[in-house]
Amino acid sequence: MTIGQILALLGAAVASIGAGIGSSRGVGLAGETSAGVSAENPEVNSKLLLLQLLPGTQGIYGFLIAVIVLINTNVLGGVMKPVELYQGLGILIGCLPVGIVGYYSAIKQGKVSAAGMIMTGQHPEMSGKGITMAVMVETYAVLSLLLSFLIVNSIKL
Amino acid sequence: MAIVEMKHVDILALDRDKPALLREIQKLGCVHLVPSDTEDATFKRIADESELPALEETIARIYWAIGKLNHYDKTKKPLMADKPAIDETQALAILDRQPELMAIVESLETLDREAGELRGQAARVDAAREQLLPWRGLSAKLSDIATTRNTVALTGAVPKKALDQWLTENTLGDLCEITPVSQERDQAYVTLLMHRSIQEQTMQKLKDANFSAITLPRLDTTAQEQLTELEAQRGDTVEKQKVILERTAAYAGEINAFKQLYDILSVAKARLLAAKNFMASQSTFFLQGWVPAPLTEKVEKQLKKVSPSAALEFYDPAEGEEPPVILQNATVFRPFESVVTSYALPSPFGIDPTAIMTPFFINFMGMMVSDAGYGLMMSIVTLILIKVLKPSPTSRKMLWLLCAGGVATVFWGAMYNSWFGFAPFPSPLDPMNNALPVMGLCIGLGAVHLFAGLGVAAYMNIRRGHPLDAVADQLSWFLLIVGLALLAVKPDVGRVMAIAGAAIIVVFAGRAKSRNPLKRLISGLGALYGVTSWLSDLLSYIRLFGMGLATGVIGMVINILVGIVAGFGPVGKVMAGLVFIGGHLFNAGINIFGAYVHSCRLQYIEFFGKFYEDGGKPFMPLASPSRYFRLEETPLRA
Repeated sequence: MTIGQILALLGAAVASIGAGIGSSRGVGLAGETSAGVSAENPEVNSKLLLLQLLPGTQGIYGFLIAVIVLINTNVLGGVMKPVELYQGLGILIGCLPVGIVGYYSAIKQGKVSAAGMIMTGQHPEMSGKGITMAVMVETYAVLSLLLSFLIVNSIKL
Repeated sequence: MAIVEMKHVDILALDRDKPALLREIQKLGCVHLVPSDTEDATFKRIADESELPALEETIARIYWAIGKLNHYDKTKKPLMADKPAIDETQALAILDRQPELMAIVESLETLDREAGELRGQAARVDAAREQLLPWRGLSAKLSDIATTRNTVALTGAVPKKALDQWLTENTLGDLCEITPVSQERDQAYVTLLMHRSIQEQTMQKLKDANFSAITLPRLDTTAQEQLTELEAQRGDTVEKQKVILERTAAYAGEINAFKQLYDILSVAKARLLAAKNFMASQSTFFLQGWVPAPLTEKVEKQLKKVSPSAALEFYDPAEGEEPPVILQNATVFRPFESVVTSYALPSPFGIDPTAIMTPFFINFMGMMVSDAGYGLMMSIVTLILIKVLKPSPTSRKMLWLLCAGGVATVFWGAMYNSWFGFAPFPSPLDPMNNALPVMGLCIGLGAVHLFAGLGVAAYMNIRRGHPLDAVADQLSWFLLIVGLALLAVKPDVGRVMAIAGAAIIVVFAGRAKSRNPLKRLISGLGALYGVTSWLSDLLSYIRLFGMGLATGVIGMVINILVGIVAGFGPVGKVMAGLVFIGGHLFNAGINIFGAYVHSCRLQYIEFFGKFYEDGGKPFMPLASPSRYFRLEETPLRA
């Protein structure tokens, strides 16, 4: 295995780990709040479920970039393609946006979701606004996903 | 595309017609009552709420009973189903049974009280048992362990180590007898009998050894006998609790009657609450409200029928007065009203954007779900659900919305050539390998969306008689943005448009702020900075590409996994099937939700940001609020 290949795999790991940890923390935080709010007001539970789901998407984005790396390097095909040092470095750099932005945005989104849940608990008709607020944070995760995708996909092996 | 026009209504009627009139208004369900306001001194605000507290208490008790019986109600609740209807005869039958039903509530309350007492008893018995358990082995009667003139008796717990030390080293001396009774973990339970002469010094030693005294009940029995007795009491309580549970459960069959009664009484309560708004003279009363303009004739006809002497007057709202808002769209657009209202109701002077938003909404949703297979699934499943479940109106609208989104998804999925993650056909758009054209398309559609928003704003300005505002605030931006975009293709045309647009903005954007031309120019230049917000608005539409890509790639990954699993013989084939179904269901679910939410966001932030005026108060007519049933007729006596 060459250093280039290892860097490419490291990139896939970084994308998946960063975004994954962020989403776990975000969803976890939102879930705790959801349980608390539901205990007070069980009728809004189903509305809270949507809010809890939102910070989970970053993990999926990270996973997605990781899989694209694995597809492009043909790891999924069974035999990994040779990767030059600079190509590997490029892939690693490409994975950073979704890994890092995914990490932070998922946690922040979890907090916004949790706040939205408390609002929904007191004013169930405002759940739509709570979701909109949380989706605002998501924008940056989507942008980082795109950037990661464009960089990773631009490196032709 | 409409906010329903509202008319004021004033109604003056005889007091004796009040119940009938109120019932009729409630049945019509289209009069939004407001506190009456008249300067005529003969009219006073009436505060006849005498019935209200009692009714509210009854309703609360019934609600409590429903909650209680819900645990024992074993009938299946159909998913999403519409509320069953009750007609007038059924409602009257239930009202006839009200005394009987309230008697049941009373017995439920008694049972609940008894259950509470039993819980208390059981807890006391348990505590007593807990205390006596270590003394089970004590052969003496509990009352025999007593202090006499010359001896002192003690019971208590001491750490085992200390006890061992006492016994081996005889620390307490010969005048103190130690009897270990039992041990539990590192605690030993002992009885001590000592001569009074050494009481003080022994007490000090006990204290040093962490001895804690336990006072046992002075009973004429041994601990073991008492425990048996408590055991029996406990069994008795359990038996009684079981009986109470059975008696409570026996009433579960009446839960429907309770729910019906709850709804019928709630309707009566709504009427009593509404009556608070009235003003009254000696024998007439006066009420005011809002009626949708198209319904005024119907309201007049129906109310005249029950109260021929009533005087009704309909008139337009005064200048600047804000009527309540209700949206009314053609049937096709109705499911999408919820998208608008879950943001905020439009102001009564604004515009209902439902119809113009709908095509954008479903297409954006389709681009983000972006898998034709999922789209087919969405449409077919929602259609089946609508047919089979006969859902309530709210769920039905949601299902229709998803169904329409599904159709758009099939189209965009076919364009992206993604069918359950497979790419069987040659495709015009390939987000995976040729991303730039697809991103361009997304931003282009975004621009169309934003310009549509601008168009609505321009339309509103023109309708209000400010065509110049439409030029200064909307056309200018349109020219500037389109011009900037054209710079890349047709530089000469683009330059002219962009400069024209920018010039209008610089000259006019500050017109409301100041009369000083220099100040206006400065604030006009500041307004040009708004180009950045246009840039971020446009970039926001990249999410159409990002979300669509995510669906496609995850679908592809699922298929790769399926391919790997399918390699492991016949078991692998079965597993592969499960992975395929489960994986795609998960992917579809999470992406449909994401697409819905992000499509909403694009409307709320980017689109509405260009024109939307919110802040309308919802139209809330006096109607029949019901939780469990649909009341077809308001019973006469309630």
